[in-house]
Amino acid sequence: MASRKFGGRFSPGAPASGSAEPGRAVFANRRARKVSIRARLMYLFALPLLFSALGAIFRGEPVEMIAELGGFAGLLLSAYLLNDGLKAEAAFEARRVARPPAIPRKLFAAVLTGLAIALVGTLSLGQPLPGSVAFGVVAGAAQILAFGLDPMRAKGIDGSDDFDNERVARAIDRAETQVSAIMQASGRIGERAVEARVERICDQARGLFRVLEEDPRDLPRARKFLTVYLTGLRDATEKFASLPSRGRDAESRDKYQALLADLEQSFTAHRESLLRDDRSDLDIEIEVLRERLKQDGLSSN
Amino acid sequence: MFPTGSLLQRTQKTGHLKMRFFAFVVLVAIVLAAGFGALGPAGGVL
Repeated sequence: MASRKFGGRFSPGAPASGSAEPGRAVFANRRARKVSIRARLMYLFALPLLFSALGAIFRGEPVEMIAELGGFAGLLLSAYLLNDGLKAEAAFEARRVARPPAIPRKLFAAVLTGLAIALVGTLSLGQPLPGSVAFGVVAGAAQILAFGLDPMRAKGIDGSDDFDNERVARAIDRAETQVSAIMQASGRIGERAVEARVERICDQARGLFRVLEEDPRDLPRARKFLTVYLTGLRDATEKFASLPSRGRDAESRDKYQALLADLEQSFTAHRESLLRDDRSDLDIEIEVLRERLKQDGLSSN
Repeated sequence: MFPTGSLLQRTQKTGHLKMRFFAFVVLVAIVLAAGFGALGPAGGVL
């Protein structure tokens, strides 16, 4: 990987302030991910059960071993679902228009915790069934109280109908998937300067998502632009990333860099017209972009 | 950060956080007790 020279606008020998690019917030248009320590600790708290299961193996107690291993697996799966559910909830909260997560992971996690505790209590610790069930129910309820439930209802904008919101939410879901595919592909390129540039373009796209969430009426116009733009960027980035790093000659690198510059410029310039309802301008821009991608052989269509 | 909102709102918020914390403590106690074999009628290593 190429080494990176550190230095900023105020470092000695930095370019004059006029030519330096304006400072950009690192988390522009996205949020830093919240990590719940308590949810992470749930992985750790399952561990004693594993050691109990090992003890049961050495004592030659098969039923106890199965109960404890089952309980351990259940608690681990529950911790995984809980962490995943919290991630999905954060993604839901970051957006203004969103559908609830397809699987209520936090609820499933709480049920799984209850089942695991009841299983261990009954089969391994000799607790009568009602007692084990009581422990299981209290554990599940405590988990729901401690971590909350999943978002269950779609959220949108007041005043516009559900159909519009549903369409925007779905279109943004798809676009977000493309953005994460682009980011993954750019990570494989292994060149920091290129990665930073791709990330900047993705940030701009995310900025547009937020605008769309505020006014779903812009969707039909934005959809075409986003499809061409993001698909083009994804195809080009995947193609460039798939070249082995030694096989990347100066020409393909220049071509890719030029395409990135074009995309970045056209996005900034035409985002305004996209929001201004300037259709003819936008249609021309989309056509130009399409032709450009076709000429470079970087697009699959 | 300075606290915002009325006294009632702040009390509700801190009450909610306390409730979540206590629920977490109960959950951890049950999970650890199951792990250390303390949930049985005879008690465990604890």
